[in-house]
Amino acid sequence: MLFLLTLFIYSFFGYASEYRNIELSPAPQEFSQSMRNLFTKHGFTTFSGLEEFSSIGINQIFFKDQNRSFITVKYDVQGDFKLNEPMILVNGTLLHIKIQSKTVAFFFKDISPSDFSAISEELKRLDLVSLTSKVFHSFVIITQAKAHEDCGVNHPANVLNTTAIGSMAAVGAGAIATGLFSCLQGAKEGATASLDIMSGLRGAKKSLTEFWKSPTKKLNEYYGAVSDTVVGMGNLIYTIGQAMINPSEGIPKLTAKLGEAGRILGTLLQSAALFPPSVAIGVVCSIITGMGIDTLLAAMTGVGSVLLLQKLRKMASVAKMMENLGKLIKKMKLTSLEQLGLSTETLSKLFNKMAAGTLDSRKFDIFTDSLASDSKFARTLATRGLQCSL
Amino acid sequence: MQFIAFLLLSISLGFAKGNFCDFDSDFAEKYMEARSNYAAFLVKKRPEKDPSEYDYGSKRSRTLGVNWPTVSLKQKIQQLFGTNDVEIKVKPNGKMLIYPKNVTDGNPVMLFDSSGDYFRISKSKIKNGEVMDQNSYHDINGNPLVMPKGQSDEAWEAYARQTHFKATP
Repeated sequence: MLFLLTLFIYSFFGYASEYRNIELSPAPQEFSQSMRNLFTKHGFTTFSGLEEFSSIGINQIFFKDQNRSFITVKYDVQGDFKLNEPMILVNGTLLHIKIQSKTVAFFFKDISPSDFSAISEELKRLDLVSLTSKVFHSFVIITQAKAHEDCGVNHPANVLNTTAIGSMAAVGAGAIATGLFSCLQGAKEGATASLDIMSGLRGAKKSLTEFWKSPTKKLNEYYGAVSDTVVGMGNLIYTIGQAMINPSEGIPKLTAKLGEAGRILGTLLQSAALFPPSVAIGVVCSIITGMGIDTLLAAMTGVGSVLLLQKLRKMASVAKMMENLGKLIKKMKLTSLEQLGLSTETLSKLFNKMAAGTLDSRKFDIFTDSLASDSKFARTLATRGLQCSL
Repeated sequence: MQFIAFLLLSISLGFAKGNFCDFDSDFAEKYMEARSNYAAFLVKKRPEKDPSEYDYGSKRSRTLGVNWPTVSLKQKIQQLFGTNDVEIKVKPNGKMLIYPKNVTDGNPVMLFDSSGDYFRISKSKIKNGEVMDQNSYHDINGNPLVMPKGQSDEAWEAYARQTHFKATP
């Protein structure tokens, strides 16, 4: 009875409490690092692509259990809420803690009670030890050392730092997810300007903006939208990773979820998996761009798979081309793509054109045949010809 | 003035790239067609045998070709015909006949062997409007050289070194 009453009160606070605004406040580097250390120590993973997930006003996201559960960090929030008290929202639990004079919001989605308890206690202690920057720094150093010592978590930035050919399974779902998130971030930063794959995320912001037409910025609604977006992204990336790592299981799952669109998408991802991991991520990015991440996200959440199928059908020639390139890589037993004489820039252009459907597939077949030839003359000619056609 | 110079340079570079790319792209396509023809040609010639046993062009290039001069195909085309805008005729035996669009009877033509990536220079023979080669042998500048008959292998190899050229693209 007491529990129900508590739940009711928390729920009430959840609905009534609000933020003055949801815009992202950039967090100091040392803060972000301390969060990374703290959460990785508890077995969470962070993706470099999700540092400052500004479109939904979140500074950092930490995942666990194959992206099914996560914690978001929102730095420097202002509004009407109580500090140090967990608020039970419809989609998860919210905790506001003051750290170094700033209020930080932690949203826990499907986190186990033991994790929640351990982390929230540690966060509260973090508040106490951070009263002086000296102590704060020593805490950072201790947690950094512990994170490395205890968990052996790979830093995401290093995971895909290779062009070597290898199976996606060896790279692992976490690294693929890191790569995809990084790719999204890269697109956002304009590093790969042609890949406008952040459109879906901008779409998410738009939907959030719709929420804030109301003068009351209710936390329940805000974190509901945050949760939906992150869950959607997480599912999407996890599903893509699974299809690349284990096509025999991943593709039937995609087909079951998305029908014919899932089968085509699965085949594309399977072909992408034939490329070196770092390039495969680029290929998948191009595929996503070709379809539009918003279309893909919509399909994953159960709507719009017809639109996805239409877009995928236009990419049939891409699937064929990628299959050919994959065969070429296998046939030549390449250990790095540089051996093809194609620069990263050329490869990027190639995949972009493939994804955009503007590459002549017949010519491409000729070039891949030439690249696979035992004649150096043929290979040089093909490389030049390919560069010319891009 | 500087702007005009820049404009002219841009235009000339644009044309250069255009020609360069057109040739490479076109040649790559024809080249692969020629290689495909050659593979079929070998099978047709001796269906019961392993095609590699009859892969003369490739063998010749691998063995004797090590002593042949290496020449840039594209540069030679430009030098010999004064243009890269050429016709490329793929033959059923995998060879490629390369000639300028305005070729007349007796003009130099190039015969490229796609199985061994080498070429030689010959003279054109136009029959019923179709361009062929006279199966003549020439030096790198297109001057005719008479093939030695009934002489030693060394003499033939010395002759081949003047008439056969390993190609770089």
